[in-house]
Amino acid sequence: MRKRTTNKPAAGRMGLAALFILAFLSGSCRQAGSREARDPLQMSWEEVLQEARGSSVHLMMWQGDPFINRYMNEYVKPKLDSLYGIRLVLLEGQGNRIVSQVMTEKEAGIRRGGIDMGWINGETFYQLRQIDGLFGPFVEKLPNSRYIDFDNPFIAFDFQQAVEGYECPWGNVQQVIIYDSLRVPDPPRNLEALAAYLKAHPGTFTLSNDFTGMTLLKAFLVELAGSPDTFYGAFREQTYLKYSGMLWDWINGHKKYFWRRGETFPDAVAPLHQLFISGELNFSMSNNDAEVDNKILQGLFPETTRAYVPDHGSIQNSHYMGIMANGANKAGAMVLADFLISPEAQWRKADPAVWGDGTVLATEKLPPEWQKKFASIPHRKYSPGRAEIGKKAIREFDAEYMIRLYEDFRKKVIEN
Amino acid sequence: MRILEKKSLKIRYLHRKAGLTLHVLLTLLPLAAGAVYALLYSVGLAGSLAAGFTLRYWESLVSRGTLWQTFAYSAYIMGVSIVLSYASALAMVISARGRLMERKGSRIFYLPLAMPALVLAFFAFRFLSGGGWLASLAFGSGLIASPQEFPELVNDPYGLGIIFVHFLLAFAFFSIYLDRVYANERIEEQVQSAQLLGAGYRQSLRRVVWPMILRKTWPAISLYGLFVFGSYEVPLLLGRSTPEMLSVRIVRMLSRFNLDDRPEAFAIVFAYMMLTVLLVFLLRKSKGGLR
Amino acid sequence: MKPVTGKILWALLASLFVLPAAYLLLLSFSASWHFPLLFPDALTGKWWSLGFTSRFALLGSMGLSLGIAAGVSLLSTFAAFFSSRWMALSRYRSALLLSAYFPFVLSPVVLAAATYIFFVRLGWNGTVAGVAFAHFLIAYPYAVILFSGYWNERLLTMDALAATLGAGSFQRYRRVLFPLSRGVLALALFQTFLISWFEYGLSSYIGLGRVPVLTVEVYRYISEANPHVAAVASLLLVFPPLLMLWVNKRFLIRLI
Repeated sequence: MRKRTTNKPAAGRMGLAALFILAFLSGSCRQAGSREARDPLQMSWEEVLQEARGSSVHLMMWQGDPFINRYMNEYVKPKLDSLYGIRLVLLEGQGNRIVSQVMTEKEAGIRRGGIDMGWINGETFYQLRQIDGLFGPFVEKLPNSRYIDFDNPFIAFDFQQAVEGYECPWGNVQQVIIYDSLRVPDPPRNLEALAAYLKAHPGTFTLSNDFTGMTLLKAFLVELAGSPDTFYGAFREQTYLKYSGMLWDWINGHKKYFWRRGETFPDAVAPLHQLFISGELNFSMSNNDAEVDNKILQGLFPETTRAYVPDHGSIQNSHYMGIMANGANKAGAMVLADFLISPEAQWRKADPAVWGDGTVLATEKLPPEWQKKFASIPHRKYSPGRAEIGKKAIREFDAEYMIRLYEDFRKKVIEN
Repeated sequence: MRILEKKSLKIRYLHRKAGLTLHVLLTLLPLAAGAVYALLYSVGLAGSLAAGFTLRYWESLVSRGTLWQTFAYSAYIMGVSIVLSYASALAMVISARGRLMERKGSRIFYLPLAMPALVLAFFAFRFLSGGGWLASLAFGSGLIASPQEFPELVNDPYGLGIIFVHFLLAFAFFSIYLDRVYANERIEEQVQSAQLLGAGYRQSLRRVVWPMILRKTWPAISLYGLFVFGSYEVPLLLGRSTPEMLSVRIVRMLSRFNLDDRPEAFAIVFAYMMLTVLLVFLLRKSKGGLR
Repeated sequence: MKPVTGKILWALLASLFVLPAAYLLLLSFSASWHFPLLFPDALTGKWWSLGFTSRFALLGSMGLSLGIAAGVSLLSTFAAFFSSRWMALSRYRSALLLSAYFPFVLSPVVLAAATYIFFVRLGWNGTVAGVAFAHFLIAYPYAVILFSGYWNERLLTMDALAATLGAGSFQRYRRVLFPLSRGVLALALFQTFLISWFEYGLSSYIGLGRVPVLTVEVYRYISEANPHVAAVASLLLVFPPLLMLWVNKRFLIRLI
């Protein structure tokens, strides 16, 4: 009798121990249990919808803005569920996290990864393409893709790279500099004026050490080079070295007038906004040209806040949805992508009271009732008009420029 | 009967052995596996960038001085936080003669311990930044005219914000802990007998109290120091772009666009793991160290 | 120390310790509060009600955190109770104890980074079980160290005595060891609970954003520049430990 009572737990523990060893050393559990899904590219759209019903889609996206989060959580999530029976799960993380995750999964030999879809930008697109991390070409398969404005080079090309159906355009924006018109009646319109302003008001300007900040640096590069044409086309080492050298010289020369003497930089736009709100900074910036309306409506920015594009222009770019090549639920991700470019979802998103993100649809291709709706989107009250700033739009450069800027900004400015 | 008894003893022995094997698996295996993987990754033998054995990632780390910088900065934050909090806690406990926790309201010493580091760091940011509450106070009393004039207390070059949070946590901990040691070790009685033998109060502090308490609390100090050394969320919110504390740097480098950063990050992981192993061994060897 | 300076110092300390919680409480009820206001301009309960809507779902996060922490605490406490007893009897006692110190002193987020590849391989990343297991990896060694000083000669003798009197090992645990160890078991249960409850870096790394434990949510609202909801979430995080403080303050004294 006694024997049995002692024996049982021992056996159990032995088993557990063996399980952990096996688990840690072999590690092929995930594939073993999964069924090999059919390639959705070979299916009809009806079949894709059917395959997607009842599934979950894991979308990794930047979640640093309450309006965007609300749009996703309170509109997209319930709609996707009621229309297609798909559960949307949002994962926090920007492009670099997506690349890093996909790489780790590749290294671990996982064929069914944890991310189905990612909200990505040019440099992530470039890197994911390099490591064969993206699924496609899938965009043509989406019924709503017929409305996408692919004639627009700002949409058809992502960082000078043709999209080729490997990512689905979602929104189109242009970078603006944000300021409080009470504190800064006459904001600087070029680097020279900025330098003068910095000297007169030290500590009131900085840029974020992230996508937004690097995007501003590209506009600075354009001013230093005299024209954006210098940077269009494939990456050229000589061009980069020449103008980035000038850029670092300029920044390091004026560093002492930056916020915290340029020794540290906010690591995202949200803290930049907070410093602007608290009055430590006189400027903020955003890659969303309707940001000022959006933030005034949230009660975060004072009503005297305005945004502008300096004379050197600013980058206009699109942001996209990419499906991971090792995503577990490609059909579901495709349905989500199709929903996100539907006229209704795009129209809602364009409203400054919702998000204010520019549409990627060619509105003239839409059915008349939608054309009317798009035409009657409430106008921005505080942000500059899109057409007006569009005249100063710069196309994105080759992704290599961005990656190098990130790298050198750290090495030559922050760690200098 | 006797055979049965022997058998049951044997089973008990096996069962203990299985349990202890499991213990080793749970504590050492993940670590060992992680360390081996990190090492292989850092010399180009594992991961998607693996292209055969190379030392170039290590060389680049060492030559750029980043490795030392990161370790030195973490050690600096650790040293200052621990020394400050330990010294102030000790002063409090000695002046209260080991009866600090008998005081009315001493329960508030436990309050910081009820707060996660993340929450305290969030508070510290709102409290100490240029647009924060202290700055508002300074503004209201006419000390500063704009947020820019407020001294840098977070994201600052000396890690003041990080030290503030660690100080708050460690000071509360050490106060309670030292107070208990003071009472348990009957230090007050030792002081009195030293004084009976003619030692002055200061002398008895230096000769009796200090050595006794230090010897008794040395392991706790070291362990606490190691936690501060590896802390993550506090420097994540309150640190600056450079220099960074170890954990923050590793996580950032692992999710960077520059893929070359990954092997370098794993090199730091490996170096850090080896350092902790070394320190734990040293701690065990040292007098009055880990049991 | 002179009584007056002592009193001032005491008051200063008291305010320093009370301040964070008081400040966050006020922040969570303020409509807006920024420089140079010393106090919020208006009070509102909207952040609290908002925090519990489906958008923020803080209650769900709290439940998830509670579940994970309770599971981790139970499992690590009892596993450590058994293994520390066996360790006390083992020839390799000190080596075995030493092995518990390594995961204990290592930065949890670095532990996560170093072992992440294995979690991915097993498909445990981004799952509740994976996050709980990762917590277990740091809570268990803590409990082992906590118990290591507990198995003294007296206790082991009593255990041996019970065995000689014919008690089976199950009976000995139930009748002798557990009742004798109620205090230390409670201590270990609460402290390992707190380790899991407070853990951020490891949870966010292994959780891949798919396991929204409360700490991960607090960080999310901080980085969303939504300080009021972050304050609400922070207070939810502080509430259970405060309750413990009220029940038994000893439970809070821990090394991590």
